[in-house]
Amino acid sequence: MQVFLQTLIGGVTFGAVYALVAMGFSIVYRTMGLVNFAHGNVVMIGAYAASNLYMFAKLPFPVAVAVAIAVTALIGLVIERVLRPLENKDFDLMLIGTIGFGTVLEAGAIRVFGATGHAVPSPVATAPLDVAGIKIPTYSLLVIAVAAAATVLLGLFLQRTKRGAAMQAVAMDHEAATAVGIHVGRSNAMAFAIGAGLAALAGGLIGPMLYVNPTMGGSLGIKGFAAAIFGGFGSMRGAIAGGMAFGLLDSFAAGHFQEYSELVTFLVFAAIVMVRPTGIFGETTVNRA
Amino acid sequence: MSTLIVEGLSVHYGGVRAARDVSFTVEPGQSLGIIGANGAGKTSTLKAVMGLAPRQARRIAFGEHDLLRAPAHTLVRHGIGYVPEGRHVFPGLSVEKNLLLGAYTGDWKRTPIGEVYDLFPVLGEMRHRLAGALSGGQQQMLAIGRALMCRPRVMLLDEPSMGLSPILVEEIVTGLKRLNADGLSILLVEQNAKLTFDVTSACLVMENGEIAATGTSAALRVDPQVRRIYLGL
Amino acid sequence: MKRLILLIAAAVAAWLLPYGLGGYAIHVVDVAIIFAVLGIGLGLAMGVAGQINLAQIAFFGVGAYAVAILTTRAGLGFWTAAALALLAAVLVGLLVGLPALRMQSHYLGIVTLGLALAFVNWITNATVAGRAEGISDIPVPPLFGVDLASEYLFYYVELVVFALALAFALFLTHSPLGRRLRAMRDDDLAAGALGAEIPLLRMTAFVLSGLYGGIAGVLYAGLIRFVAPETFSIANMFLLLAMVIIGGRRSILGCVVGAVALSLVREALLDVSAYAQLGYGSVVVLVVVFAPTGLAGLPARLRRRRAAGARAALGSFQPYDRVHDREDGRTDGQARDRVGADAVADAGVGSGADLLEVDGVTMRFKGLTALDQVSLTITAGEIRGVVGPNGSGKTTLFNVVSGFYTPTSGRVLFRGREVTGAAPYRLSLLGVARTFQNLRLFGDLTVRENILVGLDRTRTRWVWRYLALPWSVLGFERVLRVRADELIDRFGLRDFADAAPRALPYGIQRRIEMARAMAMTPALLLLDEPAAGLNGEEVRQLAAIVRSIRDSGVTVVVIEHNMGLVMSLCDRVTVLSGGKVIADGAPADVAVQPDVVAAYLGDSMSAPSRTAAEPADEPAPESAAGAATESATESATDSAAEEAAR
Repeated sequence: MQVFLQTLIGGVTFGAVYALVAMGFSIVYRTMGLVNFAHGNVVMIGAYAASNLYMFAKLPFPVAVAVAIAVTALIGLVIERVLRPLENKDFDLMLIGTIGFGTVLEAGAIRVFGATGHAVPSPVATAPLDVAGIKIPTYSLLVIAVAAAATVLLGLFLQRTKRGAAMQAVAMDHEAATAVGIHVGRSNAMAFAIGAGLAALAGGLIGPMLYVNPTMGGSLGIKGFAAAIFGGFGSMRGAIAGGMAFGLLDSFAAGHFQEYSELVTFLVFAAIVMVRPTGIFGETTVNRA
Repeated sequence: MSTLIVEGLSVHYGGVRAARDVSFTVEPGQSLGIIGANGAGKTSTLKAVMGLAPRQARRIAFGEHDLLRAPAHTLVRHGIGYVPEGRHVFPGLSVEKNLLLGAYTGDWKRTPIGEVYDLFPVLGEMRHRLAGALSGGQQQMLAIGRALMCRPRVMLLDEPSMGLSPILVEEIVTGLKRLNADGLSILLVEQNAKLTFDVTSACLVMENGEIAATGTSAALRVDPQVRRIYLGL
Repeated sequence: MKRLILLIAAAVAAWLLPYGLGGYAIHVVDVAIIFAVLGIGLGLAMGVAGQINLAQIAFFGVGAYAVAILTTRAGLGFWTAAALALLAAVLVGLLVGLPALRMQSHYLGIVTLGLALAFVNWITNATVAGRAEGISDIPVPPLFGVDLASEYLFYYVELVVFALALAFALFLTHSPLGRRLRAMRDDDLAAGALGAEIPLLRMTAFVLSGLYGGIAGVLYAGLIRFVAPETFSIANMFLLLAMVIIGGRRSILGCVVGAVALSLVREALLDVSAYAQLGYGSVVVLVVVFAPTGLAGLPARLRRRRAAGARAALGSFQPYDRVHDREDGRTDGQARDRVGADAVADAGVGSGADLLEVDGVTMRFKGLTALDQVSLTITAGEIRGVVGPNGSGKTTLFNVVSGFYTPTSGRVLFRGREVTGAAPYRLSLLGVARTFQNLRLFGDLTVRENILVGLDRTRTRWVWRYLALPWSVLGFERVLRVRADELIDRFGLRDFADAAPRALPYGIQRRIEMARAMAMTPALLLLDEPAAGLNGEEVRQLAAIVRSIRDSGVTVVVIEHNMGLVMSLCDRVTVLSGGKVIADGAPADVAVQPDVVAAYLGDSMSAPSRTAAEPADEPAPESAAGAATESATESATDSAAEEAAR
């Protein structure tokens, strides 16, 4: 029981980060119909930027993460601008284009930060909370709280602001959105920037939990993407549910299958997606391609 | 007041010619109809005016604004409201949010939303529902209401009767007549000739992408040629 | 001839190559050839068949690891292990391909990528696979006393294998199977409607890429005699992807060129590998944006720019023989059947019998009822028009009949057999052909190839011949080509037989789609708005073509908005409105029914006077015109409609 709860907490913590990554995927997919395979690498850049600013520039952790978000948002804008000619044209080409971008980001990180990577000390130095014999790391709580806050803020932005409503409108019907006066290109660019910002937040948060290295983007991106599909691609609820589900799957697989956790996770993922390609909150956007 | 002028408009999709050399004007306060069978090029014409379809034209202007050079998303700022074919509301947003987006270019604190609820009371009752959950007729009213939110001077409507029952069509007709009486210019594209004759004062009949006949609605109503074009007899 | 000389020159150059290379250089070349084989496999799956397969590197790993494990752990001989390794790679290909049955595009990409990660995870941790250290003592492959430990001699083994692999891949892409794979890539719906078994074809693509991955893996194991997880990492998967994209994924030769070129570049930049990665990542982005067809597509792009200007003309249509003079044509048809397949539809259905019966079909989408209890019967040998306002359910009806939708309720019978919800390819092989409202031609296939896809009536299980009897495939292809030429001439498409359809004017594309549908030798032809976008002259030609098709014994159902065409062409007309059949009968009768007038014009005022009806082929019968008087009330019109329908 105790092991179960302990695993649960670990799963929820990672799930919160996966949910952030998945939300980044989803917001870009929803507004542009583009699957950004470079997203994982943007997470990696975010992790590097945040950890370097925190460890070497000695910025406070929140400030470091904020700056990292700004940096990656800029990268997101560049990716969007370069791939814009392919929008709504050839889906597969766009996908390959983003893979190319991912490669560039990864190689760039190796150039700038070196191939080895570094560990990041936890910014919260207090001892884990002890609740009925279960140890809850304070940093886990922080991660969950920040992820929840980001989710709520994003929700408020989409629900309450004019820009947010416009972005959703573009996702639903870009022609009608144009007719009411929304600049679709600008809205897409903003979606991309927000997606990349979420990636940096995820990266900054996961830094102290993992070893920050240039190749971390591959597996994080794939897991976040898988989480997005898991929940139902393009849906925000789906991203959160999928992220949590994937985090739990991941940590229980790690508990039961040790080093084979990744193998089990992806086999289970493949099986579930086979049975239900539209995910938990299935939207019928699967055939958009 | 501004006049909508279209001269020598042609629309081509790839190799397909959807409309050829179409010209018309909509005077301030006038209501003009474009009727014709499916595939006659009516929707393409309207979309091309809005800049949503590939077009060539000698002139498309609204008042002093040259619409040929204006990007599609700026038309609403010049006072042109557009109700697309098949309604195209934003299904995942609430009715109220849909209406507010109609006033995207303006200030959300001073919108004519009350007037829209006044015109179509059912929208007021359903303001918190998702637009996708409305019936076809309600969605059509929503689409019209959304176009009204930018306080347009001319309104372009594309097949507002499509898929609606006669009673709902009647309700739409009443709404459109009222708007026109209040001074809004209307350009109505319809397959439903009766509705169009009821709402408009003059009409163009399109066939195979070209204007086949023009005249006052009263005259066209009894013109056998209209029926011939429609029914192929 | 020129090709043969080039081929011989290439072979001689390849044979002599090792004489000019040092020890390390030959190693680099050996590795490049392995990547080329791998690239061909990825090209077949992704470029030819359009399956986003990001697990190619895992197929490679399965081949190499299987050899390593079977030789070192199970003590098998190298070649026995190699054979089993190929089998394993094919099986893994099959398994990884399973998700393709349910999803495509990025979904498939992420699932295959996940499975590739799962494989890497397994080899890094399994004791049997040597964990992170890998397996190092793979034996030298024995070959009649030739010492294959020498990388020079191994080069020749690789060369032979590579040549065979390349030849087979080229043969495949230019064969009927390859054409179907490409058709599926361009438009899987249309390919299905033309008789291609999409699920099996997708699996075939994965089996092929598994096979090529396995071959590359075996060669790798034999060359390096050491395997470790690093070689099969995701980074190398992306490198492989870059090779195929830069080379040109749709051309097998392009994939080879890309693979060899990038292998060499990578070798040259080994000391600055981060820059190399940066470089090819950027090149992938640039290629995707500016030259999506890759290096292989450049010559064609340049040629197109030069060739623009010469405008070919659409030839005239040569009518089919009328059905009763067709008896002597049958022998020819039987010969086709013998060569072709078990499944060519028997075109002989007596005129007057019920060919298609739609019985109480209802089709609902998420609360929207597109078809509501629609029943209609199509008699063999007629031309039936289906008309109605926008959104009245006409195309939905076609989609139900051609197997794209399974109706919510109701039945569809074709020649008395229930075919409700049968897969499109099955209906196509039974003799139902269709065209599409928005033209679904295979844009990257030539006009001739589009027609050839329609002519190919084989089932996919026929593919065993590609390995066992390749010459019979060639013979079949020759017969198909002769028949394609006949069709091209009949439909007047000679001048652009080898052009890509997307570059042609719309009217010609419509004609091509009709020719492609007729290539299926259907019993029932469904035309969805064949006159849309055509000018007056083209519409007249269309009417002549459709009549000739009917006279040749094919039953035609046509959805059309051009009422003039419907009136003059169709024997009977069915009118749909709001998903219901509101009228059914001879065109002139139907057009004056108040319900129909109301559906079209929005009112139920009088139909046109009889003088206005004169231009039609036959004047409207007295009774129908009389029934539709101005005073007709709603209920009266209903009964009149019912009467006319009987």
